[in-house]
Amino acid sequence: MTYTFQQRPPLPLGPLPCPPYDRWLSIEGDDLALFCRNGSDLLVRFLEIADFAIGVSDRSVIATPGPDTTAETVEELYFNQVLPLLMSYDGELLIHASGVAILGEVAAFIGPSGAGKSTLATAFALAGYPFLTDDGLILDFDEGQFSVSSRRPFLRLRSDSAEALLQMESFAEYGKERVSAGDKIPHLGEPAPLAALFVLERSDKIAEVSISRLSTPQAVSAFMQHSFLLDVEDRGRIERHFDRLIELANHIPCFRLDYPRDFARLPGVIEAVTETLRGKKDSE
Amino acid sequence: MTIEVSPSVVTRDVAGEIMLLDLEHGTYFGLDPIGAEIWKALESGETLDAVLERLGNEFDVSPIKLRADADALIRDLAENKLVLAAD
Repeated sequence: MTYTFQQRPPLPLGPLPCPPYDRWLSIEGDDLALFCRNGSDLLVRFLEIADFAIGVSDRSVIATPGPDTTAETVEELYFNQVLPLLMSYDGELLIHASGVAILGEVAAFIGPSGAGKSTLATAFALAGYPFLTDDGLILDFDEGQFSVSSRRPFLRLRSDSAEALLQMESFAEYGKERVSAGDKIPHLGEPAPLAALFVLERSDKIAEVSISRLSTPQAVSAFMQHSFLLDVEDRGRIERHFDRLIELANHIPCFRLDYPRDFARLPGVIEAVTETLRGKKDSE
Repeated sequence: MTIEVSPSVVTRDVAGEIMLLDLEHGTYFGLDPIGAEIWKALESGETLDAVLERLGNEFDVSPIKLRADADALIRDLAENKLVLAAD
């Protein structure tokens, strides 16, 4: 499938053409994006950042940035959020997750914006485990095995993560700083088999790193919550998507990962995740 | 009272549990083994009283607890528009 993308000059974002039929929320419960119908086409608004008009019939995307939004931010949103929505619409399986390669296989970290996906990907990369993607994890199923596609060699970090992990003086736009892969932050440029999925939780009083296995139905519920779905009112696509998520949960172990949100504790998270994967390999 | 399954709900057997997906509202729901039995019975058109009498004979659970659990489940399902009540 071919997708086309173009950016228009910045404009103040006007009223939405109709009430939203779907929305994305941050981990704090705030609106991040609203989904509306505009005739036969769809409009995705990232609040105060940009509008993406999606031509469903010709798979075209036209972005209109808000007055204070840079072209780079719009490009990131297109590749990490809007393109995954279209790919999902065309039958591919994508979830809101980052992915890193550990022991030759991928550990994926699932969660909404603010859950820690990019921070974990960066911390693992700095520890020598290359990242495959920052978000919009693409899963392929072939010959009984799920694999993860490599995507763009960029990470988008909140300013506090950029400062703590990379000692960057942050000029983050809308709270996110784009960081390129390099010698210190390795990126894996090829697909790799998927080993495990970790759903990121954020309990207030968690004192230690905690990893626990989710049941298959619990995993399906988590995948549903963190999927890319362009049109939640398209029954046929939702049913097919549901079946693919069940297939994923039947094949790949899924864990709940909770940890204190303290940068000094990230080495402990890395150790716990790698130990979990070693345990999985040993049991195979 | 008869409880009818919403026509927009699809079900899948996932690792011994039943998962419900409402295609109209995009909501999904997992059922434990007793909940799954109740759901299957509702799908087949059995009344709730008949279902509970049968489950009381099949499972080692008191009729009072079974009724309370079933009522709570039906309330949950109804609130999520997964079942419709009909007289």
